[in-house]
Amino acid sequence: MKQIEHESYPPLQHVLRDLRIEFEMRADGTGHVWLPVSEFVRNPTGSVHAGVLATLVDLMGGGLAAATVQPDWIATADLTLHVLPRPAGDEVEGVARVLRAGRTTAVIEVELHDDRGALGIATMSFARLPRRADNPVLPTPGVGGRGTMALPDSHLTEPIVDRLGFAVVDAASGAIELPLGSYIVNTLGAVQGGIVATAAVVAADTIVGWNAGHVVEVCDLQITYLALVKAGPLRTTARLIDPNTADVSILDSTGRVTTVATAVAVRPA
Amino acid sequence: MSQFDDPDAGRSVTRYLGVTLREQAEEGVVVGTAPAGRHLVDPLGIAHAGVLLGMIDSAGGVCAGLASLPRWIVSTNLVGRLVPRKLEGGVVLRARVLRAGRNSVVTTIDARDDATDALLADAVLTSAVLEPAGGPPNYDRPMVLEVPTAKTELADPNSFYGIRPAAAGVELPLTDTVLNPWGILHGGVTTTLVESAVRHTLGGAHLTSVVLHFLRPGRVGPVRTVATWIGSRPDGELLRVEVRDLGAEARTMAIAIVSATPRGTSS
Repeated sequence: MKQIEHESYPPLQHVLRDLRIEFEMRADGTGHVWLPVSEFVRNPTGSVHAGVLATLVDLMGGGLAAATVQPDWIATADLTLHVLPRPAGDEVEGVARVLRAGRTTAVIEVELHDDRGALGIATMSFARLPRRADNPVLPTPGVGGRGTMALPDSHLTEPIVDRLGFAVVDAASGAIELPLGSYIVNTLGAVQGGIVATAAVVAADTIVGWNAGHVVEVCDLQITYLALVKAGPLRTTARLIDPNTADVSILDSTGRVTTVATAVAVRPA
Repeated sequence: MSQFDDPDAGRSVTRYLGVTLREQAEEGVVVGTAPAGRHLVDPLGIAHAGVLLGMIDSAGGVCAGLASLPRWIVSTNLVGRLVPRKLEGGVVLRARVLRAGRNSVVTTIDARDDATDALLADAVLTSAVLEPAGGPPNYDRPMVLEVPTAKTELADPNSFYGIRPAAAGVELPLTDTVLNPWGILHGGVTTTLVESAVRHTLGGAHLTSVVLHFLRPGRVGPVRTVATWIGSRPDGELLRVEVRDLGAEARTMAIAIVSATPRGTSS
């Protein structure tokens, strides 16, 4: 196992280390990613929290897109995730492939499964950007085997939503807050894309569950990134389209809408 | 080369969808209106998802195009949530720009029943900005794109476009009817191909969520579309749909991830 080290990213205490995700770029152009499913990334029913799956696919999709467009770099433009809400096995694997790599964009698809079969599917679009000096250098696909950002003592000690620090401000309007800190930043010092997606999931779970009067789990997420969240706390507002579907806006502390999302949350079987 | 100066070339789909588009004084907003028509709905009276998404693609695309002038746009992906309910009147669309960047434009579009104001669909369209061969369309501002009302009753979308069942899915020859002014398959036909393939696989369905990535243009045909079932969920079925141009080395033109209720529901 190769530990991925970079001069400044991620910090020693970081969610991408604590999730203990492993990944590998293969010579055939596919990317593979593995998530050990601890109790702290599960919903009460045993399924994996959609925000964690979004973080998983964002990490793998971003890595594969960046490797594909080298020496250029990428920024996530949108992410969609569709999950089959059922208890997951001990490990979730994602297999990513490039659907298109053009002059200005790249499109990636990630299929998710565990030892019982399909768990979901995700797609992502990335804008292709000129390389900056501080962009990480990625390993050549097919060289180096599995890697991880986890350090030997990296792990979660409480549920992921609690560890990230989400606070519900007003459940009826899907208003939640997330303080910014080094634990959740990306290479640009903004909130990591998977964590922004997690905020959309928490907001949708909150407003749909509050209106339904019972616990729900997000199974569909469609998210469009408009700007980085650099000024915290991150805040959300939401409105219901129908009893199971919420439109979520994610704002920074200046009130700027940085991200829009639509999420479907259902009562678990 | 585009055919925007020819008033007839590549207009069949636009006329079939019947959406008149008007730019509003409010910056970055385009409003579309489509009169009621039996071709818009299925036998249960529910709007065809493919037609609705085609309207959304048109309204969002023009809205994004106006925001990118003197360049123009091509749709890259469309994500939409649909509410399958009985359509009482025509369709009103409202598209506005969320973000207009140098390389891409993001628009949000909602579609409502003009008789009840009920929400039919809510979508986000992302478009790539490009330098169009032959230049962008030349519109007076504020732009009005009037579509003449059909004088006769129109056929259902599959019949009008020429979509037919084929091995494991549906197939479409690339005739002039289904092309846009750029001479490639119209995005509004791709959305109907996706709906038809899902219905083919499930034996009838109403789409509730669609993520559609336009990957490459369709130029040769026939175009084959196959929906593959992924799994069941409390809110319906999950499928992956692939659209391929068989005449162009079967390259993938588009993929979609779709949630659908197998027998459909109305509200």
